[in-house]
Order: sequence, then structure tokens, then C-alpha cells
Amino acid sequence: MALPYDGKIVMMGDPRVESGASDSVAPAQASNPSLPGSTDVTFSAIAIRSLFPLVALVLILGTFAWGPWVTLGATYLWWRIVGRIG
Amino acid sequence: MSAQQATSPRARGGFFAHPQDVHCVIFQVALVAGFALTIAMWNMWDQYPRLAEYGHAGRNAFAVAAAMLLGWSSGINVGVNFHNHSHRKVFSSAWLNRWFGRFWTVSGGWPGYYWEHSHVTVHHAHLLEDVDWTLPKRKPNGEWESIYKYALMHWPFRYVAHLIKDSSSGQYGPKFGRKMAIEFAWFVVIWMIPPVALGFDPLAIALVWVLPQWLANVAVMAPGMYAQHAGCSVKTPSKPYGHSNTFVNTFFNSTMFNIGYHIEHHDHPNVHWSELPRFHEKMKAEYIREKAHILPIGYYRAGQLLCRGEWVASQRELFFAQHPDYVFVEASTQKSDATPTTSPQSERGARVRA
Repeated sequence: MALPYDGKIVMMGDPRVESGASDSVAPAQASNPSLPGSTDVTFSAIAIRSLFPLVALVLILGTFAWGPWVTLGATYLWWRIVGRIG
Repeated sequence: MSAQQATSPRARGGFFAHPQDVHCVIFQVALVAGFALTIAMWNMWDQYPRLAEYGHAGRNAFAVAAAMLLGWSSGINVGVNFHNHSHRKVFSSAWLNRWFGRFWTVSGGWPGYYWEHSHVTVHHAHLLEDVDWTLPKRKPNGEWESIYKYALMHWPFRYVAHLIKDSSSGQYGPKFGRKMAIEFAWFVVIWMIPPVALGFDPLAIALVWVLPQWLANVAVMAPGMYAQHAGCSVKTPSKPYGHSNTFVNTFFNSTMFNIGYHIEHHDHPNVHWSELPRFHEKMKAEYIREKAHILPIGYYRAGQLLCRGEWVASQRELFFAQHPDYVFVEASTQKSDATPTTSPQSERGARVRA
């Protein structure tokens, strides 16, 4: 049985996306750098997109500075904060 | 060379299928670095005076904290990051897609191919139908089972049972079972790397390696999956967007690869994750008109509301409240000022946003 989606690429602006027929288009629109945001690979973008593993790295490494109990408390606090704002 | 070939990422020599996909890889690399660091710190705890002074109780506390942090990230990594890869491969190289995929989901307790089958072949192809075994079960009255029961049962118990059934049924072709066996073998090989690095210490394996996987599935992916389709029904012409809930919280979507745009994702799964916010803006008027359920929050807050909603009805009502900016007002009832934010529904939406 074939998979229902074939992994082919559709970008915004493709009329087939707009018409709702996006699941069967050809890969001609792959990776269009002219699209706004397409080259947004700045440090700030990395910090936002990978925020959770980066915070994990900071808190894990920070254990050398402030000890494991503070890491555990900060982890719980971070969990609660995201539970409120996310 | 055909025009199609000429514009494909591979023909252009691109490493990533889409420039934004570099973020998917950075996320995974940072997560693996976190696990490697945690394993190294556990193994060398007694050798660093700054750590050794806290004793083994401190080491265990550190491991629990690391498990929460890494399990959380692993849940995102499988349920969102690899999820995007399962719809649209991130590399232009098929070999890299296959092998990066095999390593991608292990810290989340999944062979990548199994998760792809569950999500794409089962969930997307049969959304909210009886055969969509990835979603919560329904009670006799049609309501979903408790979010707690779903979270505790779905991984690994239900998934394992259904995956075994699918692999032996033959309904997915003669090679499917063999492919499942091969991928499971690779999963076991890769999964064993941390236990080997931890010297097969049972406590270390439980805290540093197994606990994150349990948290990734039970505390992160399950509530997310539940919230995505809670209160929803099979897509019909009269309710074209009733199959999913869309969450437009900016912090949530910025840090979660825009997974909140879930109506959009199910209707157009091949639209790249980085373009979903713009796609949503194009569809906004249509969603308002068709009364799609849009929430101002993210999955984390939604999970809390659904969990508390098992006992407190008002918490559940907050989840089902509509985003104030997406409340449909019938033209016939509109006065000179048609601002729809004064309806009871929108007031509840404002409360949940606050």
C-alpha cells in the first residue's frame, strides 16, 4: 500500500496549495530562497527554534557552577513557566 | 535534464531540502549533545570536587533534572521535529535522510520508521476514524477517554500492540514486515549506545536514558496529541475544519516548529513548517467563517487545562473557548460596530489567553 503522502515539496504561493490540492504536486518548488524567511538562519533564530535543548544544555552545564539541587529547582520553574506562557 | 529535476534541491546541489531545515538538524544535534554531556557527568561525578561534594543524592537529583529537560526536548524532537521530516525529508540526500532518521527518534523511544508509519499511514490517512489507533479511545457515549489514561497507555503499550498487528497483517504489502524488522534491529543497536556508555548501571540507565523517553511520550507527546484533536470530528463538507484545533500562540509556535497550525497541517501536510504562519493568515477569514476552533494558547497550557478539566469543568470550558479574534458573527446580527469580542465565547477566549 502506497503512503498517502509522498514527501514531495510544496511551497507557499503554489496555486495547488491555495486550491487545496497540495498532496499531489511535483517537487518543482523546492527550496525557494526568495521566499521571506527562507534564509533566516541567524543566531537569534537558532536560539528560538532550538530553545528547549539549548536551555537543557545551559542548565546541565550550569550544574558545575550552582550544583544539582539548583538545576532541579530551575528545571521545575522552567517547566511551570512554559506551562503558563506556551 | 527535465525542468523538475533542474529545480530539485539535489540537482541544485543543496544540502537541505529547504534552508530552514537547518534548524531541525541543530535541534537534534543540541539534544544529542545534552545526552552525551549528562552521561559524561554521571560517569565522572565523583572525579569533579564541585560535583562530588553533593554526593550520590545530588547526582540522582541532577539526573532527574536532566531527564526532565532532555525528555521534554526528545518529545518535541520526535513529535514535532522528526514529524516534519516524516512529511518532508530535510536533506536532499536519500541516504542521509534514512540514516539521520534512524538516529533522530531513538532518544524519544521510537524507531523512526515506526513513528512515520503511525503518523502518516495511520493518523493522517484515517484522521479520527475508528482505525486511527494513534488517538484516544472513545467511551460508549462518544467522548474521548481521560487524558491521563491515554497518556499512560498509548506508549509503549498500545503502540507496540498495533505495530505488531500491522506488521503481521500483510495489509501494507509483502515487504512491510521485513522492513519493520530491519528498522527494529537498527533501533536496538542505536538504543544500546547509552547503556554501554553508562556501564550497564541499572540506576543510571533508568534515570538518564529510560526516564527521558517515558517523559517524552507520556508528558509531552500524549498531551499534545490529545489537544490537537480534542473535541474534533471527522472532516465533512459541512464541517471542513472540525478535524483539528489550531493554536496560534507566538511563543509556542516559534519554539515548536509551528506545530500549532494543525488544521493547516492536516489539510496541507506538505506545506513547509516555516511557512505555516503565512499560510494561516491566508486562511484566517475562511477559518472564522467556518467556525474552526482556534486557541490563543499552546499545547503546554492546553495540556494543563485538559488535565485539570478532568475534575474542574471550567478548566475544560477554557480549552474549548474560541480565540477572541476568531469569533464568527452572523452578518444579520451585526450592528454598526461588528467587533465580535463581546460575545460570551470570546470572553472565555480572552480569559484563557490571560
